[in-house]
Amino acid sequence: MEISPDATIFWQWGIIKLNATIATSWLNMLLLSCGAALITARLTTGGQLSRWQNLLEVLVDGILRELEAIGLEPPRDFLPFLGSLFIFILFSNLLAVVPGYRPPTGSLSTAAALAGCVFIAVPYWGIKRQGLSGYLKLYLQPSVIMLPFNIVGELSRTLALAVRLFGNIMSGSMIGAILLIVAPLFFPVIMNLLGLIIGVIQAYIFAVLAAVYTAAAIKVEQQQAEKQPQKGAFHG
Amino acid sequence: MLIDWFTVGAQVVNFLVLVYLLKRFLYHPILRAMDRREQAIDTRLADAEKTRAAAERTAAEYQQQKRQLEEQSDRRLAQAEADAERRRKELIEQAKTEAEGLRQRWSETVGRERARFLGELKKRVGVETLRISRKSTVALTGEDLQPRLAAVLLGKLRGLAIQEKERCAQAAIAASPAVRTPFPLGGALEKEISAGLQEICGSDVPVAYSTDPEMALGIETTIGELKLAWGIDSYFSELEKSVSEQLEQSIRSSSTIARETHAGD
Repeated sequence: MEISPDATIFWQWGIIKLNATIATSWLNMLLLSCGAALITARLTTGGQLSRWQNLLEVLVDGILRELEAIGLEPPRDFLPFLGSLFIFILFSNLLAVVPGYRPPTGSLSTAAALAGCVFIAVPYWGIKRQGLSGYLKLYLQPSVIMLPFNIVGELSRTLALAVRLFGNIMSGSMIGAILLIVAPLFFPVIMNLLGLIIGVIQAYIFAVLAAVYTAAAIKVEQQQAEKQPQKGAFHG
Repeated sequence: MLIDWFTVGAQVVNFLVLVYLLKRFLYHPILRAMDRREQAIDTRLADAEKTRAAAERTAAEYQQQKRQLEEQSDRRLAQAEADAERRRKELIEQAKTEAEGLRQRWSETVGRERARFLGELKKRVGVETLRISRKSTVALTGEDLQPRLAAVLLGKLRGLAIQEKERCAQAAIAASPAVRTPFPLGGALEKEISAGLQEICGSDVPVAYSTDPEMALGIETTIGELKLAWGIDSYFSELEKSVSEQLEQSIRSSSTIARETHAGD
């Protein structure tokens, strides 16, 4: 049994290949997009909401509130990226209970791709909000000596994001598979339930950490700007 | 190798496409619907606030109108009470006036009744007295009353003073003497009385005799404006005076009781 669904290749032409990770990701994308399109095609703005519209509104509103609580203002600017991270990982992890389905988040490639997106998005927003010099100054905080540590920290947290997600989901799938061999009755069900909880928690952790990194990148400059007048007042 | 770099790249692209798709089909429509709902709720709240404000204004107007109505009602009630009080006083005054009028009419009726009664009494007493006197005189003395009356009249005529006799003579020139009695005197007595009068007034003076059954017992002689009368009229007058006093007293006490009864009501 392969550890990663990357190894399950359905079609290959040169370096271009269609493996289980990509296929299940497309399936996820298809289900999510079609489901959202179907539900949002019949939205109502009155008092009576359909069950599915209510679910989606709760989901979107919950994500917005979470982003706002973390300090991302306005939260709607960050909703598409961070919300999609959460929904994609959550949906992939939840579908793991379907027999035969191998979640794409159990692939280190997917986790690395998502962590890489975060790795790119954080400086993107930091530079967008504070300018290039403002963002780069963050690496010199609190002093120049911390520059290498900040760079290493940036890289290591990206790596940690990827490995955490991959490790948890892959281990959940593997434990389920192994238990299926060792004890085919009851235990796999319990482990699947545990896997569901872990999947939800991991989706939340991944999205929240990405939001926190982003918030840190755009808020340090604000905090410095707030501190500056206080120092001036002290010296004066 | 756990990482397949082609898969990593493909997954980055997949994720970016998913971000676009979800933005297109999920976030945008849902956020728009939520915004519209919030807007609708805000509109409804604003409408409700307006309606509430209008309702409060209307309630305030109603309260004011109610106060005005109550004030009007109080004023009208007070006016009605004042009118009723005035009307009551007017009715009481009117009733008093009517009662006074009734009392006055009653007094007048009583007065008339009293006069009529007294007249009747006088007549009856006179008649009865005359009858009793006649009977008793005849029974006790064996004499008739007429000659005694004529004798008394003649005695009074003869007893007149000289000046009075002259006045009678003077009066007889203008009008001849007349004698009035309640009963016929008879030829002898008339002659005797005529002779007595002619002694004073002159021998050729005619004397007229008349009978008046309504007259009390006595005899009356008039010569022009002069009158010489004798009889029991004076006693009747005293009797009438006494009865009148008794009646007055009885009427006064009845009137007092009636007034006290009315005041008590």
